[in-house]
Amino acid sequence: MSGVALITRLELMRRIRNRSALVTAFIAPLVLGSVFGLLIGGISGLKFTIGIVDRDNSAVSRAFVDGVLQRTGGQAPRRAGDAKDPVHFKVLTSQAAARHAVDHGDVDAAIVVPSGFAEATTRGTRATLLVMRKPSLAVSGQVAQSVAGTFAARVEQANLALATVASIRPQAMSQELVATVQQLRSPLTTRDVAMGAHAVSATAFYGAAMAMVFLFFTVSFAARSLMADRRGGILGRILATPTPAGAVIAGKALAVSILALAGFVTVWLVTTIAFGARWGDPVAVFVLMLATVATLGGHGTFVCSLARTEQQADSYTSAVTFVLALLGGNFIGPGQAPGLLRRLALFTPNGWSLRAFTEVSADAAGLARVAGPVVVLLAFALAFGAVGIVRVRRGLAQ
Amino acid sequence: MTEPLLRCEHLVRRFRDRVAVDDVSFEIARGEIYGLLGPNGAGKTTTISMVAGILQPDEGTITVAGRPLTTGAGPAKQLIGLVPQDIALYPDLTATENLQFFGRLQNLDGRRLAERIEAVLHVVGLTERAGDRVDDYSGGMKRRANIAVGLLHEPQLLILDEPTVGVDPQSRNQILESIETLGRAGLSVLYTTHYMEEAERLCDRVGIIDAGKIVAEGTRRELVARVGEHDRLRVSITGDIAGFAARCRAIAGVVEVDQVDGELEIVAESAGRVLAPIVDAAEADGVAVTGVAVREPDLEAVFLHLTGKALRD
Repeated sequence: MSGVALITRLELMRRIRNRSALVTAFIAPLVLGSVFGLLIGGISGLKFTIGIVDRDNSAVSRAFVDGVLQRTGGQAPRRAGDAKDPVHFKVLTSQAAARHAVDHGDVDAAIVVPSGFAEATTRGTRATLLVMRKPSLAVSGQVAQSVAGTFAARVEQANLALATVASIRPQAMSQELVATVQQLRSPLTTRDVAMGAHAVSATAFYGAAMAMVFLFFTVSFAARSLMADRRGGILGRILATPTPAGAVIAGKALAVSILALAGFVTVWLVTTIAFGARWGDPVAVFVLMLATVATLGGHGTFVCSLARTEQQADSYTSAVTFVLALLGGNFIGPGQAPGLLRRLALFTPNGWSLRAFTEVSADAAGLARVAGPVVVLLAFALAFGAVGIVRVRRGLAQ
Repeated sequence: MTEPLLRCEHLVRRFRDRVAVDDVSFEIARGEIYGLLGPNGAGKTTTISMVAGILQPDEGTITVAGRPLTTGAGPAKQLIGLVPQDIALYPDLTATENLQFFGRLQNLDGRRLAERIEAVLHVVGLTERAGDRVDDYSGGMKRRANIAVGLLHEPQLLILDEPTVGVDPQSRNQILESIETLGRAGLSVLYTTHYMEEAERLCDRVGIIDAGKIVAEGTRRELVARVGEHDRLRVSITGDIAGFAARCRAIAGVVEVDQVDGELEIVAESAGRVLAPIVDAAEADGVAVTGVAVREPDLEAVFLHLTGKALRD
């Protein structure tokens, strides 16, 4: 058995025996995957219930209320899982009832159609749709405001059409024409077209992003183990055998990489099986994981080669991890980073890795499409790993 | 003349601007126990690290059984067994597991490895505790396990770097006996220590190292003769110590008299010849002699003479 294999086996055996391997490869990733599955799965599954009160009780206001209710086919979805629309409406009898429902959390927000609503829409007098919300529930309040704003825009659109017809053919202003104009749809609509077959799975994105942060710390174990062996005189004893220094470094790095990869795969499996996260093509995902572990291993070796003590290695690893995670976009949702940060992310290995994971998750990239990012990641691994190993070897000679 | 097993020629090693080892040369014959004697920081461990192939010398050459030794020289390294000053063992593994790991690094395997593990555990007296974790061992047992790893692959040269530091007297004696046995069996040993009595007991030849240089080398007898050291008497008295010191200085054969800690330190050409006149002088002065200790010239005295400082400084 080669020196590399012997050292790898010993490292793994010791870590399995002291249970740190269990924590690194399974328990911590399991907890990480579960926490992000619950948190992100909860966010992506958000549902809002908006109360609606018709104080005008006119034909126009009833049409408005019926219109919004049709979106969910009634007062509320029959079953929560049935409705794809995250917004549901519930008819309330009075403004007081709406206030009570908002206060007690029966609805997330409420829209009150005021008296005089019909007159305002048909004759141009003023009426205000009242949106009732709790300051603490900002998102649901914005949803209710958006619904009200959309309706106001449609009324304005209809009135504009009527005014236009009246100015061209005043004799044609019959009741039928008014009704026809009110049914008009805007000629311009918007449609959200994603570049992939699916939207990016937030759970998969954050699972990969946080697993990478965890990996940064895991790969630093190799350097810390090397320093501990050096401090205890064990490294000197190993180097007094025919085992070259490079084999010692490679053996420790390989052991830690195996644990890191196991941890990454655990996050993948947990978020996929337990929380339905869609990571994308498994082969592409696994290849990306291998490349990511390699590149973070290279960075970890380089960072730790700058340190002379285990405490320094810990400090440097923490600092570099958080800077790279911030620059690479690990703490920001997919596609939410500002332009400058997106450009800076391309100077980080985790930025490249995240971009590739995002594309694979959206099914926009298979194995062939991730080849480019994988090459970049391996180049990062080679460059930083080689410099790190040279520096570590030089340090061992002193 | 037979080829020495180890030959070190003009070794120099610098750490930045500091010269840790400065033009060190020495040889060890087959079956010889060679002591490298010097205080902490003298350059012993750096010298040993170069001889073990851990550190590359900046200048100079090392050959083991005629083979050049470098940090990458596998065949030459296999002739050497290293016992570092630290307990260089994995504390969470058993002695057997440690031996298996280091044995495989020395290209031992299978039945041969099992036989060697059994043999070295017997040599260091740890057969009964072989399956215990090293961190459950006493300090002395750890030291013995540390030595066992160095012997595992049957090296021709065993390097022992202060192997008795922090060890209880019983374990220390056991370790020294093991080394004597190995030496008698024909193993060459490079032994560093700052314990003069260990060097005197074990070593066929001694190199005295100070500030990175070997300042003297030879057998104990040669070294003592070379510096021309005298016997030393330590005399405890009650009475007029200053007057008694003056009377002692007049005794034929007395070279030097000093007052040290309320006692007299007398340097004489021969302790046997001056002892009776000293007792007579005490009687004549009405001084009571309460104790006399005689110390013949030893390596400690040689070291003091050569370097101007004590070994434990």
